[in-house]
Amino acid sequence: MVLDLGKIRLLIVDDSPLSQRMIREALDPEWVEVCGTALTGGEGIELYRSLHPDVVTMDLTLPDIDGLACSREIILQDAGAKIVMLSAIKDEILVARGTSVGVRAFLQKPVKKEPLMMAIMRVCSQTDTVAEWQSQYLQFFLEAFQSNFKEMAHASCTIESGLESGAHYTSQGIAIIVGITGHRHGRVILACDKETATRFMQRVFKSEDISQNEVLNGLAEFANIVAGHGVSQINNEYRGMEFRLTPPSILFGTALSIYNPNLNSVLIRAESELGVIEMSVGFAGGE
Amino acid sequence: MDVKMINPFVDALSTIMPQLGFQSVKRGNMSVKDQYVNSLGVTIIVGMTMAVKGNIAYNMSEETAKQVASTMMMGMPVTQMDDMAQSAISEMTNMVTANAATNFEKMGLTVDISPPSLIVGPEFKAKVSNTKFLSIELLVDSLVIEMNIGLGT
Repeated sequence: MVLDLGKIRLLIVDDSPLSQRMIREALDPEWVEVCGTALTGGEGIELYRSLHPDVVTMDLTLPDIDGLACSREIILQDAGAKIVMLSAIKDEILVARGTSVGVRAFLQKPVKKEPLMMAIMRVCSQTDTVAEWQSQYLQFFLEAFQSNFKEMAHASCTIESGLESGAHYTSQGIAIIVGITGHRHGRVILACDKETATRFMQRVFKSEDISQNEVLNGLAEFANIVAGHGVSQINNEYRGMEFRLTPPSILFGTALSIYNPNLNSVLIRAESELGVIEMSVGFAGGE
Repeated sequence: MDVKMINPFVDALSTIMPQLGFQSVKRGNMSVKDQYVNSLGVTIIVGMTMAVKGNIAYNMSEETAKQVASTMMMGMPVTQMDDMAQSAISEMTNMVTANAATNFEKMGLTVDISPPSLIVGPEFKAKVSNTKFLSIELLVDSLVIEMNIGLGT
């Protein structure tokens, strides 16, 4: 694991001196140092702003605002904030609410050394491992896209690719979504405008006279083939991924904004004489 | 499509929504549709694989989505469909679908679900299935959530 020089700086937000002490004792001093402690949510928000810690442990019950509201405030200030939520009760509702405000990990109290250190190391190293995985799978989907596009459209294309930032993808006309399940969960979006899709399918069908349905279903089939080839390559290369695809769903309108929280995506943009086709491939999680 | 595909979802919504702070879940109209789902404003697509394959499109108005998000976030006012509200709605559909997956498991059908994709935009359509699909309206308190279920075994 690659970490910055120096230790991980932790801010503890917890009103109980006993809990604070247990957290301190659970930390491995070789890796983590406590840079501050806050007794209330308000103090936590203030200290986060002044200390810029690498990671926060957040108690759910605080005297002023609760830990979820406090996390939300911190994440609003810093979208990259890494918060580990600690609470006596850990159920799916808490995890859902926490996840929806951007909490990265959840642990049940009393805090134990192993799980706490694992959670801290995991949330702090998320970017590294995700970037590695993204560059690996991008290659497979690039190859799948290029070879199938060439074969079906009988055209060459110029491709740009890279990491996609943000959770929103916008399409100006048609978008095909293919879900991915297995060891990791994700989705492929293949999108272009109606004119490009029509020209593409006219090539595939070798006919000028094709219906809107044929265009939409044809593009869905292309997305299905590309996604299928991409995940087959990954399944062959990495044991235990066991990726499967959902049937493609088709969206069409004038401006579609597609939102996938908690996915890390790569974008492939292919420009050809037919127009621009984009493909976004994203997976959840950073483990 | 088999009508028995509906119950795992109705049961899931009836289980999850009260946990998120809602009082009641009632069945509304049910119909068989083909072709397209017309978005009511906010549409969330979740896919399913393994023993049951296909897609589910949750469909609701923007107003409903904002009220659901607000209730989920402990009554915090939600005036626009910002990231926070979109994230809450995505998580709700994820929980409902995951719970439906557990219900399928009880029927002896092992399934896996894909992450939700939430779509907004002016007047768009979605196609979830190549064949007919079932559309059911559920009244969550007074809010209408439409579930379009295009699944097969």
